[in-house]
Amino acid sequence: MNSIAIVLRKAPYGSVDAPEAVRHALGGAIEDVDVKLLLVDAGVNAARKGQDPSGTEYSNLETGIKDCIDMGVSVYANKVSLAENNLGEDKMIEGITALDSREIAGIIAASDTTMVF
Amino acid sequence: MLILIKNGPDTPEGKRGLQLALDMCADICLLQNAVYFAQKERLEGVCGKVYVLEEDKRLRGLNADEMEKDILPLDYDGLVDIMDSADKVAGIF
Repeated sequence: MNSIAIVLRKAPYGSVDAPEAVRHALGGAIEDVDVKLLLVDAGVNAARKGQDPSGTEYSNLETGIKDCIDMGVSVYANKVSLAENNLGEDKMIEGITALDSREIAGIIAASDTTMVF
Repeated sequence: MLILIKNGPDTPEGKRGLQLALDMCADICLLQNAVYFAQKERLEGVCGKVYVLEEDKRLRGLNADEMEKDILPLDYDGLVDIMDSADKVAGIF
């Protein structure tokens, strides 16, 4: 497997989907797989700056996304989902690229494998 | 009447809870992913009080400037108080 598209649809902290998507993305990056993390629907909320889990036992998803970027994972967010979730690019973590739905579909089509969370 | 909602605006459960509150002019308490309902223009037509659990809002990085006005922040003790003082509580959607 050379390339994998990981699609995150769920908002962070409400379920295990978001941390699991980030964990799998980091795992792929470590194994030198070409990983693309696609944030769609409420999943774009994982790209929000200023997440503050202090005082809770949640792992910080903002840090997880930044780690992905540092490890060479390409992270994309769907423009329509960003608008629906009131998330302007000024409030988004740096290093994430906003794409339209056709570009997102193109990445999935070009990837060897797709995982959906 | 107090309606508790924990599912986000992108879910049928969350939308159902909000619709029920609108239909009954009930107070609403937003928990977990439902705190995204507190963003502007998502609570049109609500006639009861709206509360949001502060910890769940802070966790998700929601800023004060993107929130609807007149939303009352709560901590866990406050949540217990409003549930105790409400004549009826329905949830959790």
